Amino acid sequence: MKHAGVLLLTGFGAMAVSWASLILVPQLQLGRADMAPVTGGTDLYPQPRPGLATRGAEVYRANGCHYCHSRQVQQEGVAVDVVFTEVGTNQAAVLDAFKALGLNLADNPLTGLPRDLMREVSKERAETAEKTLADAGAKSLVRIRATGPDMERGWGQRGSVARDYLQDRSVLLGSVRLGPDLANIGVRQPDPAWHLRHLYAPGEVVKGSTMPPYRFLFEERRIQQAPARDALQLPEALAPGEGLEIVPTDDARALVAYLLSLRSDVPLFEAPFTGGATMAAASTNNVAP
Amino acid sequence: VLLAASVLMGLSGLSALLTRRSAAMYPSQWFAGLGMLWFPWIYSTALLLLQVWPVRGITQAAVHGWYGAHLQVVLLGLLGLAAVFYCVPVLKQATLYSRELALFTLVGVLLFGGWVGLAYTVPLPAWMGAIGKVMTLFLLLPVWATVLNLRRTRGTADAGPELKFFSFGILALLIFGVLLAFTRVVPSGERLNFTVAQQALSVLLVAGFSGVIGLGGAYFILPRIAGRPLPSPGLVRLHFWIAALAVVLMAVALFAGGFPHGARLVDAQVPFNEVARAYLMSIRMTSLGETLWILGALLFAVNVMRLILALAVGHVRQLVQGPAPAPTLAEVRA
Repeated sequence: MKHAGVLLLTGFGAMAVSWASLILVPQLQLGRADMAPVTGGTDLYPQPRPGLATRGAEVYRANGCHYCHSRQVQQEGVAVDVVFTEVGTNQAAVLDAFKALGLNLADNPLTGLPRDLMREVSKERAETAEKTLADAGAKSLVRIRATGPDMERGWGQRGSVARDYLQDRSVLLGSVRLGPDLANIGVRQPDPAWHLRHLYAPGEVVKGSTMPPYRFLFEERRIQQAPARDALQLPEALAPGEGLEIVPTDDARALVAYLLSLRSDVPLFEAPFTGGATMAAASTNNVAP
Repeated sequence: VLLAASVLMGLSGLSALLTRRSAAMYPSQWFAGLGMLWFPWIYSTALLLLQVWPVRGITQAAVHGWYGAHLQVVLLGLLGLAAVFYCVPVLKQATLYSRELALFTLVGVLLFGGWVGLAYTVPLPAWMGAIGKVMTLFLLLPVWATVLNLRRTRGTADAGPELKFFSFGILALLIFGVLLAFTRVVPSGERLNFTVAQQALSVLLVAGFSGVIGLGGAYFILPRIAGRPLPSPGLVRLHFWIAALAVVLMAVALFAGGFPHGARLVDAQVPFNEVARAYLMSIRMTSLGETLWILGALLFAVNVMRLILALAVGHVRQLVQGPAPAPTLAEVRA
């Protein structure tokens, strides 16, 4: 090749095309996104983080938490269920409605409400069931539920969407799950004391945890007149000596504030769900980082 | 500082390119020339859009994916291939089989390489992930063209231990391309999302391709700059085997570990602590591989320090005894 100019133009063109496609176009498509109302309400989502949590995001980044934890819930699909909530006054009509809907009546469906009447049916069939039951004087609701292993683990009620990251100064999605997903850790573990103990001694809080302890985020000091309010309550094996206490540094408090702010638990237009099982009810095996 | 340094490097490379005496350019010059211009652009884009004036929300992930692909696949690819296309024919004492194939490789890396960094799990518009998947398939074309070109560059000379580094690097690049396409396109490969197998890809590209070829390039150029052979050719061979073992150990352990890791991740009945057990052995093997890599680096350092020492002694001796005749190329190669 004798023409360096042609070579340079080729390179420039290739770079320009990928730059325009992967940087400019997403910016045009998503760059102007703003807070949006939560489905069925007037609250706007996502709200800006409090100052301490914003600082905690920097601690999260500085300690490389995103190398082991993702912050993106994966959703594989959507299921539509019918939840039976009230029998009403005419039980015979409700039983007839069940027959009309072709439902199995063997297990006395009028007790133990609310209960799932139909699971993973089409939207049309769910709406027909809701109307048929309403005509019989009973009440039911159609539940839209996100599906996938992440939901089954209780890591979220819906998949993560672009709007969830609107208030992040640094978006740290993580690409490997050596620890659980943290997109909703603030919902699953709302107790700051739990997080502080877990950062100090992960293996003590979660048996078999592979997470390293972050003890440099704490300081051991002599108890002043009375123990500090946020001094760690530790088992005897980890407790400091007589007259000493372990207290979190500002970085530890900020990191916990950030972790508690991680919650994408509201339905949005682009990520709908209605009244699914709460994440707190999910298996405790999957809750702890 | 890094940006300013890269701009200066790019400008000096560009001026050298534009003021060259011979109009004809060797394929390695195409790759190296473009590589030097690449970094200032991608680095300034990432710096401005992620640090100085960060773009909003999830669009940062697009910038990050774009930068990652351009850095690891395009930039390191261009520089590594520049070394390959220069050193391999010289070591084999042969002419490169096809300049056209080399040009195809160049254009292919430029066109397809920058698109493969975006994981489709990221909540960005679906078309971006879809294009990324297609591009991982297209990226196999320039990789295969490189393999073909180098295989058909047949020489008669005994190529020496440095050639092993380049051959291994190209093999790592080929395996990287195939595994990347597997994880992105094949449904069972998608189960490797969020697993340690993703790190196997980085190991193959950064250590296996760029790192090993960088070492080969250093072993190629040092005796030529110094004007004398490396003091311990045996250490070069040993370094190759240690570096190759390190890369193979890390890549195999991480990729193989990705399957049980992924299988347990998608089974919600498996407690997360059990998920962690699936990848622990991979992480331990990776630590062993990294230790081997460091050991190899120490061998390299020993060889280079001995070379510098020999040079210094030679200069002192020259000052004392007067100039000695320069070694011939055959002596250097020996």
